[in-house]
Amino acid sequence: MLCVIIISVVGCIIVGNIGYHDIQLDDGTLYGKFKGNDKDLVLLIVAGSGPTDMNGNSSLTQGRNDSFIQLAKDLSHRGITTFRYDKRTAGRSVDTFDNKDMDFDYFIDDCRDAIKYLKEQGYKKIVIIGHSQGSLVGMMAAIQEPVDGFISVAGSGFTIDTILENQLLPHYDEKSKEIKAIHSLREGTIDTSFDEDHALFSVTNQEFLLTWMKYNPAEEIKKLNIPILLIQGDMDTQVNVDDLKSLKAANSQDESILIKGMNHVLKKVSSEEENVVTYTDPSYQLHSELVPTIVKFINTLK
Amino acid sequence: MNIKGIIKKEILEGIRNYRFLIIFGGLLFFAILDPIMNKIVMPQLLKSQFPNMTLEAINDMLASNQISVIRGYLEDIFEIGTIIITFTLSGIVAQEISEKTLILPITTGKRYGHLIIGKVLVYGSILIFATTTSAIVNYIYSGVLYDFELFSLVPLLRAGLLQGLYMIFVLSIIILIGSFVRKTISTGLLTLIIAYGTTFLGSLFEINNYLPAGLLSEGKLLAVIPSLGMFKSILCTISIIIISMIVAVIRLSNMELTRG
Repeated sequence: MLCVIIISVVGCIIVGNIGYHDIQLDDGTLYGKFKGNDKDLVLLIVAGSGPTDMNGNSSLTQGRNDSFIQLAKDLSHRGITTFRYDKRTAGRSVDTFDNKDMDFDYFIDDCRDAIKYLKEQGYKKIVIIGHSQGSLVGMMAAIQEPVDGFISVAGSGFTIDTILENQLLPHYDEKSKEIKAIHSLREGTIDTSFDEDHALFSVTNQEFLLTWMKYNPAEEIKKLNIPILLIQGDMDTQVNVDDLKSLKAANSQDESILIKGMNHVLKKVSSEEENVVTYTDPSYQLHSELVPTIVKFINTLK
Repeated sequence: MNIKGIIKKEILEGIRNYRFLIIFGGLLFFAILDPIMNKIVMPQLLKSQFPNMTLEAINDMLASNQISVIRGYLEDIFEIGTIIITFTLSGIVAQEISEKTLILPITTGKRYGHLIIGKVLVYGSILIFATTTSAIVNYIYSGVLYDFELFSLVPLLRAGLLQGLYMIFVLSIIILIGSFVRKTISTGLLTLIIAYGTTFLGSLFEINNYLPAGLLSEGKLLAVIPSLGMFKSILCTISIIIISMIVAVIRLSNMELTRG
């Protein structure tokens, strides 16, 4: 009986640790996983904003969408190896970092260190696929640590203050405290009148936004001298077609694809109600056009 | 009498007592009825109760696609199917002890371990087969009534198998409790308390990954890719099943079978 208990406990520990790779940093550890057998080319998946883990799931929502793990699995079936990691604010990595004073540059540094790790592992070609905020993070990391290709999926084409203003204006008055806070941030000042538990404008978050808004994706993408693919879904309610146009305008020779019916979590949806559901329902598959589009681009790099 | 003989005896007894039939019938009843209730009966029922309610509002209150119908069915199997299975099988040890029929194979040289393994093998196979078959029937029936929206049969087969394993956990608890309390009804009630209690506590403390209840929650998601938590849950459930069987064998070995 004791044997069964020991086997069970050990088994759970093994299952919980299986396949993890750890990237040791000065201030913590990033945990990541490979999927696929190709040892020459690897696709580095960089997650978007919030506590989004390597599988594409956020601890802020009840339920999984599994978008990145589905992407990794589908790509591995087509012979493409991926590496995805838990951000310092998510999944297994979060407990190893002291995330009190967040700086956008930390995410860039982490991504850069992940690229270095992949190079140490012997991969000859590395392509970054950045999703949402991860698009800007990946872009900046690729500027610092050369890679062979860059894919932006649902990547923003504007600075974060512009995005926030556009998202808030339909709901807030021009003279509201929230909109004024965005104007203050543009001038480099923090509005200290918000409570610390305010979801968007707590002082801590404003400090973080200041470190984020100094990067303009439409400007930064011009610094990349590698093949670029821009992907955007037309059912995405967080990042829209204007963002795609903005990134595309920065570099007209970049390939851009607008996928009909794809939302922000890369699923095929046909209504607003379904759009919301897919964020927390893992029974939805990735949009069928997404993976073939990525594979086609990757094949041009091989 | 070898293990084959025990298996044969359990199969014959399962047929003779209609246990297999009740398990299959019970699960298939929900598999077929759930889609019909959602698509035909419930809208009419709501319409008659709330005549001024619009059809749109009624549809909002009910499962509107195949996936939600399947999830409703899986929920029903846990909530009501567990009761059916528990009370159908609650006598497999308790009744044999109280009616002193357990002594017959023992006097022919049979070991308690073989007896318990035989019961788990026979009824476990039936439970796995019944949950999986019913899930497929529900998939087909809901698909015909709505649309085949689930991308493949794989998540559904996974859900059926996970539910089957959960029911084997219930079976092992029935055997364990039956070997202690010797009364069919008490065995059934205590088993249900454990089955529902662990699910409630698992959700409350968010430890479903380490409990059999995790099998149900993972199955119900019908995820394209199962989570790692499912494997932990499988491991823990198998361990609980084995431990329950070992404790039941120890208990039976130390029991005076001729005592009333």
